[in-house]
Amino acid sequence: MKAGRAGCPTLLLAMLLSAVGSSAADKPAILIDQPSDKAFRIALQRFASDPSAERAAGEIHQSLVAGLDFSGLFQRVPEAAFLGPVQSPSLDAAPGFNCARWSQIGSDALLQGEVHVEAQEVRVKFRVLDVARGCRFLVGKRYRGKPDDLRRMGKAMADDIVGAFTGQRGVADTEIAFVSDRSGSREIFVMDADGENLRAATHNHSINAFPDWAPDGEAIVYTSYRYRNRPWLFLLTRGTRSPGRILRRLDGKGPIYRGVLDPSGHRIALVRSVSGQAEIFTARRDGSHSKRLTRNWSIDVSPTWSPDGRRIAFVSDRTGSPQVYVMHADGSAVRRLTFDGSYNTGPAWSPDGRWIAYETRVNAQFDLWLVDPEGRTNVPLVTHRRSDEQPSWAPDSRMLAFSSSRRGSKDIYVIGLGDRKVRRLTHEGDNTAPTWGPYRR
Amino acid sequence: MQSYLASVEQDRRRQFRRILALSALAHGLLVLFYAVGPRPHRQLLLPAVVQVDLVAAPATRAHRRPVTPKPVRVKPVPPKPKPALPKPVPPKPKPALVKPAKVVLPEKPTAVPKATAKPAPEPAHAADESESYEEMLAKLRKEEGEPAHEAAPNAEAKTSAAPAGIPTPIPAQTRVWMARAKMYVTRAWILQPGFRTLPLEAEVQVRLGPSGKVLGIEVTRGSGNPWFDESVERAIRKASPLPAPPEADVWTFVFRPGDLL
Repeated sequence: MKAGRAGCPTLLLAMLLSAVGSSAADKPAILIDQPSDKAFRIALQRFASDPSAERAAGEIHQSLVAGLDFSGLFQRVPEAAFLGPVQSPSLDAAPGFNCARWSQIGSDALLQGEVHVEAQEVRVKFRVLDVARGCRFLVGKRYRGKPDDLRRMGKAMADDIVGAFTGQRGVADTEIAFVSDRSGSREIFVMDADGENLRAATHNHSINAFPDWAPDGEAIVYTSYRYRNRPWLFLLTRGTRSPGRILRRLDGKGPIYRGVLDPSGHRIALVRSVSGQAEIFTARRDGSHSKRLTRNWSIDVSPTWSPDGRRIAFVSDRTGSPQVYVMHADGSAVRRLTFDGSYNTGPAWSPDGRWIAYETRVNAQFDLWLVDPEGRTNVPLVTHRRSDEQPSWAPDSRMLAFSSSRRGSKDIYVIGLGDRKVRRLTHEGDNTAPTWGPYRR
Repeated sequence: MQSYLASVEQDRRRQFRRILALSALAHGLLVLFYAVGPRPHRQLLLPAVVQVDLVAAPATRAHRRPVTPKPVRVKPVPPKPKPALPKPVPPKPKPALVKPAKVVLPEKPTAVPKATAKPAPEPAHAADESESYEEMLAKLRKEEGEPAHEAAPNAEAKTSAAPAGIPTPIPAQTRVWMARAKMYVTRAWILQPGFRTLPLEAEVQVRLGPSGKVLGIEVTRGSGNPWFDESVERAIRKASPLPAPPEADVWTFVFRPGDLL
């Protein structure tokens, strides 16, 4: 009898579920294969703050807006369209707001936050609600910093919001190193990814070239002619003023033109001169465990590591013209990647490992193309009647920095891989060799 | 005198014999020339054969057309093929074929030796199949008592779970609604560009009210990427209310971005 009672509702439930299932299965599915080109619409309520923190709140808000704009993924809902309050409530208070007011204005997300300034410390809290999904909590964080860090806080906030929507943190709070002659000699400069906060990293009145970030973002390796007027590698650590000469164990074994740190930061892929030919080596930072990877009578340059550190892409003219090749990190299994075009150089391996960006010469100027590491897909990225050169990937693999002469002088630009929107970052002097730094801690 | 006359007579006979021999030689050469000499008309025949097929071409141009390699490119059907030949033989034109009037190729298109070497062309076979399929479908419809359905099921029908490989015909009203619902959801679907090039696909079942209001969403087959699945759910919710469906029930949506970089 008990079994019969228990079995009856189970049977009914099974029948109900099967009925629902069959009704859905009987109908044809609707295929949605083309997303819209719209950006996420986000409503930004102004940070709640004490009167003393109003200036800080305004600066963070401004930086947040700039960071979201830089991502290219968001469109801000104008405050004039708000049906709800412009000012954010305190986050400690109960939600008690009407979600429909935000969905009715077409908003996908709502940002609320508050700023407090105590002594010399700024504290910020924010949360983002997923309006399209019933104002569900999407992301929320707290930041603490000094009054000088307000801009960084806003950008870090923007990057967190990008990450909440896409699964990949944004890159507004990252840096780009590059070479510029704006001070009269070719020096290394560093700027924020949106072109702001420019500062000089070197000031030695010599020739400095090929900056490369350490994987932790705490140091830059670069080539300089400041030592005996010959090219050598130097390491500039963040917070120190005097860079150190590295690879000392390789002293007297020919000049070193370029060095690129591997993803672990312990090994460096080097371009060294051997009998007048540029060859690729690997070595530790002090120059020990040096290993020659290329051995031929041609020029081998421009090494770039795969994100797992197991392979190296490089340029060689062993077949008569410069082409991009890939090999294992021990120099074995060399394979040519590019076959289109007679002059392909400057490879840069994306952090997600999917693409190698490179420059190809077309009608005496350079375009940027992408090839996958297996050489199966080869697609154009930036084509312009003026030269676009020296690509460098952002850590999210969604943007690239490059040098271009499209406005006459050489300047640093960034491009989004998705929207292909190009932004100019520098406006003074000749600016080349951009290298996008990793995520900051 | 007699000797003079005799010598003249001898000269005449000699001359006659010489002329006779020359004449015979010339005739012999002429016969030989016709028998084994070059025959431009033999090659001219091939374009003429082709011209039979080219209805629009004026007949007189066929004879004036110069001998060029062009006819070889046109894949001419060899004239007078021998059906008994087991293998396709390169066309061996015979003197009899010199007369274009005798070439009546269009009458026997199936006697082409190449046809024996290759299987029958696919389109004809496919046409037969489709014909029989249409007939079968018509019979089924007749049995079901359905009116004749002229339009073929649209692309979405391929994704439906129709049993036994026979797509269920979609009523016109449903098809129109599906197109409108697709438009609503497409407009509401925001996907970050990086995901458009990845092989992501998600299937959701959406319970719709009679007015098209979304009453419930269930991701029945996730993409493995939570942010992609969230974007899908967001799109459905933002698209609500959809156009009033033909049936207030559970409907399946498949999200599959088709972009390549």
